[in-house]
Amino acid sequence: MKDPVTGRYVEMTVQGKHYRIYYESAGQGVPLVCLHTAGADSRQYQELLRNRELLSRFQVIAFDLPFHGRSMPPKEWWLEPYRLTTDLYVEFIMTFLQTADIEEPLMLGCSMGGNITLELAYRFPEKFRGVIALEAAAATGGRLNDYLFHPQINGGEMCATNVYGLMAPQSPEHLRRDVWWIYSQGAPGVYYGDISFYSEDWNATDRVGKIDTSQCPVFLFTGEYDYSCSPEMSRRTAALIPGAEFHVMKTMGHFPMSENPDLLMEYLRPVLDKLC
Amino acid sequence: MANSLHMFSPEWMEQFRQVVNEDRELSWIARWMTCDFVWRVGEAVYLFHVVGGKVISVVAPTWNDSWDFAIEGTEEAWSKFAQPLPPPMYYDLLGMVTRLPECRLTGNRLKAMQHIRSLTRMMSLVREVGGETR
Repeated sequence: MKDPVTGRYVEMTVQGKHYRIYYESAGQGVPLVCLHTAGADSRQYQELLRNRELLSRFQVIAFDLPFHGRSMPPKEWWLEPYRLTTDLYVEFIMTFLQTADIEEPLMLGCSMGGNITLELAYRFPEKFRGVIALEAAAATGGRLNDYLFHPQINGGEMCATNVYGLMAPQSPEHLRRDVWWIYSQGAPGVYYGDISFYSEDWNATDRVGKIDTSQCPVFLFTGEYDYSCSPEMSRRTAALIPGAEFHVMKTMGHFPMSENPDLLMEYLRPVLDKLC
Repeated sequence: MANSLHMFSPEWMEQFRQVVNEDRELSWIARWMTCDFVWRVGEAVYLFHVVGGKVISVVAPTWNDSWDFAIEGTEEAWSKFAQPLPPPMYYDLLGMVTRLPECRLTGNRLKAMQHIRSLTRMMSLVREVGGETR
């Protein structure tokens, strides 16, 4: 059976550093750009990239951030610790979209990828059809700790176990174990560097209220089993954004697109119909 | 057959010990897990002596005993954790000790994190033991 997914690279420069960025795409139609979570990569979207319903209407695209998956770090990465920031993350995304010739996409992001879609909607509402933020909030503190990047601890096991319990027990076990597997494969310090963004650098409570949802509609979905970004945290954020919609996903955890893609589609379908 | 033992009683702990020691996954992932830890369930305190991933004994600690770390919580919290489908916030060991005020992980946390993969698996097996709650 021929698989619908194609993988390729784009070359781009961000803040004076050169990157070769890997991305996968499938389907035709409105670009739906998917952002992976901290310490993971585009494999988290492997089910959505093969979802026939989505592929009939969307070009589903998922790329690996630098340092993640098949996107290598820049030259001289060994001279300083990897730390993601709000500005750097935005620049990575906008440069990727421009370099890959993706115009007016619908953005879908999860966790730190969901958080940053709120920033995108705030800074560039005219450039997006809308944003769908999964497991996201204007601030998501309390997740950074030194055990994630420590020479006396197996980082693969630590990072993977740190996220495994964020998923719903109702989600199929083999899909939850895939999430564990992807997390176990991140390079040392990369999940830590992402979490320093997610948990410390990221705080948009002062500006999410200024998002123009008439230009760029905002939808938030959060799983009831997520304790990293709880439904209450997302609900409070949605309440700050005039016109934003928020839904709690029952029997879902922190990785909807990976742990239970079929159930996620049930929640996404009405929004996709509305937006495109 | 339903387990009629009172959950978290000494007899129940012995069953839990056997389930842990027969677990196929732990038999290979916990090979290097050697430590002593306490599991506190409300007022009840149990000391787990683990060697090479096998729980050698579960006893009430005496003045002569020391341990590496302790997992502490109320009986109500652990009863929720032990349900076949625990409610949100009560499903994950790390989640409980980092987000719930009634649960804690104390002592040598570095050592606990070194074994977090096996420890998480081990504790999740309480759901396979069953038993009666108060």
